[in-house]
Amino acid sequence: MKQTDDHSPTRRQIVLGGVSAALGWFLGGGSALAQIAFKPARTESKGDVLVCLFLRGGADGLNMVIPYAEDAYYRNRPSLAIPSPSDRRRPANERAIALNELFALHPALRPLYPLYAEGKLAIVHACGSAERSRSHFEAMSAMERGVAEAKASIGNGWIARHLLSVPRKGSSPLRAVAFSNVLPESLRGVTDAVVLQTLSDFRLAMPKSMGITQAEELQHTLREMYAGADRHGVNQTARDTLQVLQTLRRVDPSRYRPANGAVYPDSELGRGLKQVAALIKAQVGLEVACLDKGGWDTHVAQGGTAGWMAANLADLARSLSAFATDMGGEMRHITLIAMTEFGRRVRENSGLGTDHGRAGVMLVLGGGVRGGKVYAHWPGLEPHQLEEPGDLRVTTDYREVLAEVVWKRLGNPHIARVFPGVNVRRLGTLGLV
Amino acid sequence: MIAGCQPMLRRAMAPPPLVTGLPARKHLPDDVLWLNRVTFGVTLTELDRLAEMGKIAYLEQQLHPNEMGEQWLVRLRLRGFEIFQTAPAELGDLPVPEVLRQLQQHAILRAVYSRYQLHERMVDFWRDHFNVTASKGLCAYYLPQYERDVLRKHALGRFPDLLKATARSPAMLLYLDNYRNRRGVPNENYARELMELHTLGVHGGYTQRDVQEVARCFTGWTVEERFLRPRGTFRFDHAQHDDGEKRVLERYIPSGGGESDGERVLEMLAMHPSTAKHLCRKLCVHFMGHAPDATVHRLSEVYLSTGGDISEVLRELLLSEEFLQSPPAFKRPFDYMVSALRALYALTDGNRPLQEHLEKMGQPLYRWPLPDGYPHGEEAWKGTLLERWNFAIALCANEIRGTQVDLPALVGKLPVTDALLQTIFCLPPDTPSIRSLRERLHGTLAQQAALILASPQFQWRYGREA
Repeated sequence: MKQTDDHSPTRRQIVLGGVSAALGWFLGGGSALAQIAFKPARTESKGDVLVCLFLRGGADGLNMVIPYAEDAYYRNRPSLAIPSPSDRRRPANERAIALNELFALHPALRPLYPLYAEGKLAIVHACGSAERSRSHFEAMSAMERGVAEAKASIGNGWIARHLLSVPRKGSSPLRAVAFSNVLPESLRGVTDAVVLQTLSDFRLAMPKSMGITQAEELQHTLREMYAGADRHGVNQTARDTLQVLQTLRRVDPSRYRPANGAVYPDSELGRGLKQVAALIKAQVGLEVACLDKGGWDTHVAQGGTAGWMAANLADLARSLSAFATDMGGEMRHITLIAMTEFGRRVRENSGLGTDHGRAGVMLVLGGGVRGGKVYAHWPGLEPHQLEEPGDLRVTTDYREVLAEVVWKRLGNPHIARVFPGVNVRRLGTLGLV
Repeated sequence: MIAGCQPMLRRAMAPPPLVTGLPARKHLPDDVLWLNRVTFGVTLTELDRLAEMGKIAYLEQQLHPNEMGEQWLVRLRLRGFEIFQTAPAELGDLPVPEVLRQLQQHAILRAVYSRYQLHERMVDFWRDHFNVTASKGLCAYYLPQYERDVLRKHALGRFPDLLKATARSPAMLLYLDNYRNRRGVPNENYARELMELHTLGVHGGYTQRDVQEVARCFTGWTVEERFLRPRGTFRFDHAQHDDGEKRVLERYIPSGGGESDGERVLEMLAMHPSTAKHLCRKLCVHFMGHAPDATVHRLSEVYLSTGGDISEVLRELLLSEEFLQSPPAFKRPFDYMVSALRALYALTDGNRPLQEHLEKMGQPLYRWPLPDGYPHGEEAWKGTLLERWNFAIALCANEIRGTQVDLPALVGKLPVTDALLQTIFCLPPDTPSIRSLRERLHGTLAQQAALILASPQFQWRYGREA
């Protein structure tokens, strides 16, 4: 493991990360994943909170986690390539941050580096679906439904199927929350998933003509009305709902103070994750939170170490890092997945951007994650190694990653129901969580 | 055009002066319960019609819907939908959300205002039973035609006709992938759901082998896509049909049957005893909230002896003793919203602001992603009570754009609480569950109305114990 970045404030962590990383990535060999020795199983999760972040638009995995050891990467991207960690011609803060002998992080992802080094963040590269249309819509639809290709006839979302296949833990009205404008396809098929733009949307919406005292009166009356026992559990749900309303008012998400000095960026994602943190800490029974971050469709003027995509990456990294810092030890019970519908073409286009490609990168963050590794059957970037018309091949089915998380971290053994068609016997071979 | 009609619409759709005096409004509790289960929500006006006509004549009228029998302003309003005036192949100029908006608006308006409430409830039933989601591919463009020419047309007719119409509809052919079910590369999606959901039921006695054989029978059933042909219509493509012999449910289908293979399968399935049981069970749940075995058995016999006549089955069900004995049934969000609008004699355009409430409650029409339709029962729906409460508040405060209620006109000069309770529940105020609710009510007229709609009592189609 060669590491020459003397200027980095996190040199020690890089070395540590490099050591553990060296165990985890493999150049070339097709059966690489199978070589990963099983670690003794960690404490089985009783069911983590799942945070699912969808990077919409097709995030360029090759510029997020840079295969800097590949000459082809630099040949194909004369203006977009991120300088190698050892490129002395460039200042250190413009160079990629080495993860191991093949991969390096985009410098804008630097805030994620400590999480990687501590083993909380795992990276899956050359990962994606079998959907080859390169259409945003089709590829997102396939991934959110948890199927191989968009043409699969399964209509509900993978997270919905997960929620339907585990016993309900309680009657929380905030079991599954999407911070979004519309219900994401991954949650389609559960009737009680809640779509919120902000947490403050989860309230009794009192019209202008009614003041706050009336809102409280109303809640009081509702509590009385739904006081009795009923054999259907409707009254219990009503009372839980009123309880959550009260809790949220007490917590007051708009004045939520993150712990451990965490500072969330003032972006949609930062605000979203901050609210997820507030919800988890308020213990309102959250099981799944879905968030989106758009702006990855970088056909034109994508930028390299600076520019459009770098700004997006910086926001992503700062948001995730703030979330992990804020949650502290609670990360033991949280698994966050960041995924995108496809990666982008290896060769940059004439507009100094990249076009829709195939394989991309997935990030998995959490206390139960075997992080500090880049999990990849690396297919290579030479012409004969690419998929027509010049895209990184998909060598890891994104569903294997999700299935491991569902099984090991969410404590749901019904993998065949959540991901019909996934080879259950292969389950766990990734060893990611 | 529509906006200009508002005052006229109000006159036509808003209530006549309703509660003219509480004592005069004595209705039989059984009639209230019966109407509340047959329709999308009992109203005083509807009760009067029932009292006037008698139950038998009322039911006969309900079983024979007639567009000309609708109030003329309702008819006028319903005529204005672009989606029903354009062939599916030409609808592509509209964005999908616009098609969906009009579909939902149309369904809401009919559910709230149609005189033929039973028809509307059955359309709601078939929409789930033969669910096609607008979210898949081009399905949205074929949904208006599907709704009008398949579901609405056959909702009270013979089930074999309805089943055949769904099988040949481009909406279903696209939704369950039969349009690409071809000789040599069969697609089993439709075949499986046809037996599991549309007819026999999951334990109805078919095998995986049957699924494969049925899929072969339907090879070549597709949607016309060729140039200068009637695009977007049913087409049997003989070249793609597997014309070998097949064996379905132990019955032999000889080779060379062509298009008739599929038709034979549909006939066989439609009149299968398992289908009778499956359908009658679902109808019981839809109207009663539960399905007693004895009732299902009796209805199945009616079904089989009448060639699958849906109206005959409904007559038997709705006039049965157990229909009145059934326990309370939790309203689905669409039931809840429509019953609230009806109870308050709301004037609504059924447009997006209202649709958004329905979406938040979890039941945006035509958007259920699975072929099994929206579920029934409190387990599925109790998680979005907050959104019901918010709808109740917004409705009573007149804060939903395009929807108005005139609460002062509803109660007139009568004591507010009793007048509201009587208008909304149509039950005497001394009914036990109403009495306990009455004690909790306070505040302004709008607040009290909102509380009633938000109450546990209004979340259920009440049973006899109410």
